[in-house]
Amino acid sequence: MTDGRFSRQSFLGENAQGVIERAVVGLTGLGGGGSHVVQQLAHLGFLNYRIYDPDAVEDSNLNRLVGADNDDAAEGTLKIEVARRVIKGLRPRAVVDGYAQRWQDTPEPLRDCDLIFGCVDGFGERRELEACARRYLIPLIDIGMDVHVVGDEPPRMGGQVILSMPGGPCMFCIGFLNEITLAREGERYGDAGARPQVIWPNGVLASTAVGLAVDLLTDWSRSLRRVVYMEYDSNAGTVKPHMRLQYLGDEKCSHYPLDQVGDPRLN
Amino acid sequence: MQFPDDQIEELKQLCPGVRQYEEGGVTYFFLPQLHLPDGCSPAQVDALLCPTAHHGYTSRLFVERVIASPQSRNWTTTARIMERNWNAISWQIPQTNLRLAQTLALQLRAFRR
Amino acid sequence: MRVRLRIPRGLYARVRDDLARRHEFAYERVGFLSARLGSAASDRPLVLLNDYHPVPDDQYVDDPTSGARINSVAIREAMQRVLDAGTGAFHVHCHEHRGRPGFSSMDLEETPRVVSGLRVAGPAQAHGMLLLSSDHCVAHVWMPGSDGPVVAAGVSVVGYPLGLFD
Repeated sequence: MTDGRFSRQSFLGENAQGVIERAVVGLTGLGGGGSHVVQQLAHLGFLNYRIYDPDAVEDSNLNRLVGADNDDAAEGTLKIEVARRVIKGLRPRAVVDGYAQRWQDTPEPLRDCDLIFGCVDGFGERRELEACARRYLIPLIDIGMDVHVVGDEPPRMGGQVILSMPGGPCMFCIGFLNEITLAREGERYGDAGARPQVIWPNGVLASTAVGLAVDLLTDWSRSLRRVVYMEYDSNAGTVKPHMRLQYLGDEKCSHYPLDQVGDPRLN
Repeated sequence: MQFPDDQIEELKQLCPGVRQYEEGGVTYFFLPQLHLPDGCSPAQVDALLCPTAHHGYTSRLFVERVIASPQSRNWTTTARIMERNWNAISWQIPQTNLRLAQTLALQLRAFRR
Repeated sequence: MRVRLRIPRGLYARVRDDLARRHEFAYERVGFLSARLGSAASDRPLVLLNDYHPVPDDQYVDDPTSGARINSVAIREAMQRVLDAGTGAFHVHCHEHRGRPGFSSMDLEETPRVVSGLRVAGPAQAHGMLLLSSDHCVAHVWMPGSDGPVVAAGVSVVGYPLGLFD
């Protein structure tokens, strides 16, 4: 059923709004990227959320944390509460299960999700999240941005949006995760560091991710049929498929075979 | 990844309940209630041995909880593997191509007096 | 308890293709899906379908009163797979119409007998029956230790696109 609010998105399909409202979405990380995603999902009409972030709003977040304001920084409002406020302000009957902790500390609700947005920092975090998503057959949409400064050159800012679909190529298959990047991070004891962050690339990446999610759920474009690995180049102003995709062979994943789904029997 | 049966048998001598698992293309050996060196508290823990490169280490021993050991160690890592949360110290073993039991022994050396 | 099933779309397509094949005398085809449990200890467990085993043509019984009747060899092989692999098994067939399908009275009478054999072979796993239509699916699930089945809260076909059947 489409009420007046969503009449402008009826092109997504006759049953699209129902699918959107039934879907359970998970978000790990409600910082610069995750807060954008939450806002867009709420506007689209999503009703069922499992959201995780252990942090509270600080003043240094306010250059990019969508939905947060000066009072939140002054009072140390939890980021999950900012997200809840944004969602409920648009969809009062939304079910928002918020966890002010890392998802790893209460993983069960995340397994309930039909779709997960990974808005985390660090390669190790991404590896862990993808392992969980693959084990429980959940599509994972990962977003992230970074800024590189080399010598006197202008900073290069970019990011990625990756759709990791169970059965299909994973982040290892597409080369985004590898032992070299993990090792470099390991040298810093896994600390991704206080990386440069600004609002507009997060907006581009979040919008791309949300668009993917809607297409995945509604199939409105009838063109989303394989792994997505989009590379964002902020300096050039482009979002395009990563060149590595052209070197992908047979698209089955050897890292997460289907015979490894389900609870591991570690006892 | 395949490991020779004789190496796995050697590992069983150190931990009878050892079981091999794969996740994300990495092989882990689950060591239930592994006996730790004297002076450690607790004396036994569930552990996970990764005998291959992992996040910059040539091998890694993950344990289910932080251990008090005779020598104080740097607990730098929490990791989620096989749907459990694990802890690990910063302890790099320079040698590679070791037998599984050797790897485990060298990892446990970190917790000795 | 809310039980949800998930099946990768590639596997789902394989099942549909197989079930659509004509049989010499059976009106319908039957197969068995392998299943692993997820979040088994929670009140919202998952049944994750990860492989498919068609029933070979020569393991059907020619019974005009039934859409499809499989013989004891088919059932024994399904039980053996449960024993060998430590997985659960779901009997699956298809009713070719659009919309939410419904198990027939014969399905509800006969298939649970097959499931009870599977439960003996693998008491620690979830077993059940899955019914497809051309655009929907429903399932009954026997969780480990349960007295009887629960109707699955939904079935998700995981792939491009993501199909959510509630």
